[in-house]
Amino acid sequence: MQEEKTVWQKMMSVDRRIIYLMVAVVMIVPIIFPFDQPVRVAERTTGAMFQAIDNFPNENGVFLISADLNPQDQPELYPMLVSWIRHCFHRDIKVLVLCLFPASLGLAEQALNQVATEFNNRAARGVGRRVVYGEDFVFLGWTPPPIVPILGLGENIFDVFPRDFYGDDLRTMPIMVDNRIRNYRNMDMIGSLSASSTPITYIAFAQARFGIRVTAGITAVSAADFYPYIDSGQLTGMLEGMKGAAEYEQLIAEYFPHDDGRRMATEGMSSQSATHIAIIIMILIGNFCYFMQRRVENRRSV
Amino acid sequence: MKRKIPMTIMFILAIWGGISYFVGKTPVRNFDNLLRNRLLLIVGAFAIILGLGSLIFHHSQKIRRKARFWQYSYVMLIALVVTTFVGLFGGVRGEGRLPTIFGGTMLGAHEGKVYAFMNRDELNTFMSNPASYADPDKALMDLPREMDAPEGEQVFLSRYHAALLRQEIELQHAGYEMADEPIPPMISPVSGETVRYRADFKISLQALYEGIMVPCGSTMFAMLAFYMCSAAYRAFRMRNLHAGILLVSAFIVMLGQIPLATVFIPWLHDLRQWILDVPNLASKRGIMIGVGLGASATSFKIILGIERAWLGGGDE
Repeated sequence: MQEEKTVWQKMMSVDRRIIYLMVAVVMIVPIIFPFDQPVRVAERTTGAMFQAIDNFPNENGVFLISADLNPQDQPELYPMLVSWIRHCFHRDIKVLVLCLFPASLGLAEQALNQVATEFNNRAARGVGRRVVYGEDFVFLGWTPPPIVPILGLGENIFDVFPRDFYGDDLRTMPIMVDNRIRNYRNMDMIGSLSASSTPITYIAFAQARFGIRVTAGITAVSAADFYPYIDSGQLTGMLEGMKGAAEYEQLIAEYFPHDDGRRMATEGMSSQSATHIAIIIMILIGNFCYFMQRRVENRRSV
Repeated sequence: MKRKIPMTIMFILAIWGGISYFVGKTPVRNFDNLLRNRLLLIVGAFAIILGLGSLIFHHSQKIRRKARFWQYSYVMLIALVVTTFVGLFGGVRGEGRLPTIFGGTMLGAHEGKVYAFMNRDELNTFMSNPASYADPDKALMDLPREMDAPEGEQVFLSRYHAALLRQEIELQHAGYEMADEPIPPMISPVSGETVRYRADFKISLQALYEGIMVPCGSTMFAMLAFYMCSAAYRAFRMRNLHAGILLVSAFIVMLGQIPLATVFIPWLHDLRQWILDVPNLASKRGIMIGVGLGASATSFKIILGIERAWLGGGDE
């Protein structure tokens, strides 16, 4: 006769649909009813990056953003891109955005449009300043393969991007003419936003050869890979996943109190925190059942 | 011969790559730029053609042989054809030759002014005789520089131009809240009725991207969380000391990601940071040095022709 399953065995082999349902509830409820959490800024990563950008020269500061985010990285990387653009616009830093992969073009453009509209709406109410495409920011688009823009921007940006994403002549744009932007020497820093190792490629080719500072926005799961570069000083700070983005949003809120833009990462932290806690509890329950079952089996064998 | 020619090209270009990296003289840099910005772009373009050809061949074969899940190959091929067609003729934002506009506010331009209309018929009426309808008092705004439409031609409102237009209008109507109402009322010079802004929809690459790729990509990745939870519950067991250390470290790093947890346990943040800064850093460095040495050795073997796997199979 087949031995009846113990309660511990039953719990360990619980139907996966029940787990899925629990995860769904834990994820969705905090999205509908978010709870406030005080965000503590990590100084070596988020704080260092914020200070580096904040200390660009206000008039001629130029920040090149390599926005290599895909729809699947959107919850973590998109708020970072939005925060970087907001910070630059607040400080009157010129923003150049490029993509190394075509899948990123849509999100990069969406972020630029979103922040530009945000600023211009505020300017209409008499708060803050207005931003203009071609004067304050430009969207360079995409040129394959990735190594071409990474190395080419060190020599002459117009060889790689003669026209912007919309097909307008880049050479005649006020942002390029007024700030004399030609290559990395005329830029203050590169911000590489990616779920892969793209920031390391920028370090290896753009920083090692042309000496430009590099910072990164990465997914939480890949953050551990980038710590050696923080320690060696090759990365000027970094944003780690949604928490890093929420920290950056917190800093923007502190430094620019009139910024009423949507804080997407901070909103998402409730759901992420609840899910993390749920995963930890599930692992603990799974292990508890495992040890109890082993105890039952040991008793039986004795 | 089939192997010697690619190996010779590879050897010369690999040595050149090294020289150009370390020699900063202008002629060397210029030639390097020429190779990179022109030759590499051409090679990249041909690689895309080769990749497309290979993809089409693979899926055609799958359909012909009725291989497992052959039906999905049709989805791939249809998506490829549609995307290419829209990209070539519809443009990135639906401003190509393809008449792909299915909505959007109808706008017309005349003598540097932009007018809004209820529908396409009104627009056509206006365009047939703009002089009789054009009333600067009923103009929506001056023609934005970015629109650059010739006099008398109709202007369709793309998503990008809509954003520009909204900014312009927003500035003209200071104090107006865009978030609640997308646009202030616009008077049609033809019928005199109020035109309201409608969301435009176009078959463009951007529309395909936002309508298909973004939701599909997000859904695929979001499903990972469910699988991960299920797998962690079933398989993450503290069977021995090593698994125990891994489990405890994972808990600390995960809890450190939760702002609320670091409020109740203040030292958790520092402990998480220590794990990432010390044990993680040491192991990562070791791995990176090993990978770097391995990659260098493999590169030398390829340059010197010892490693030939990259050439693929085939006869000499």
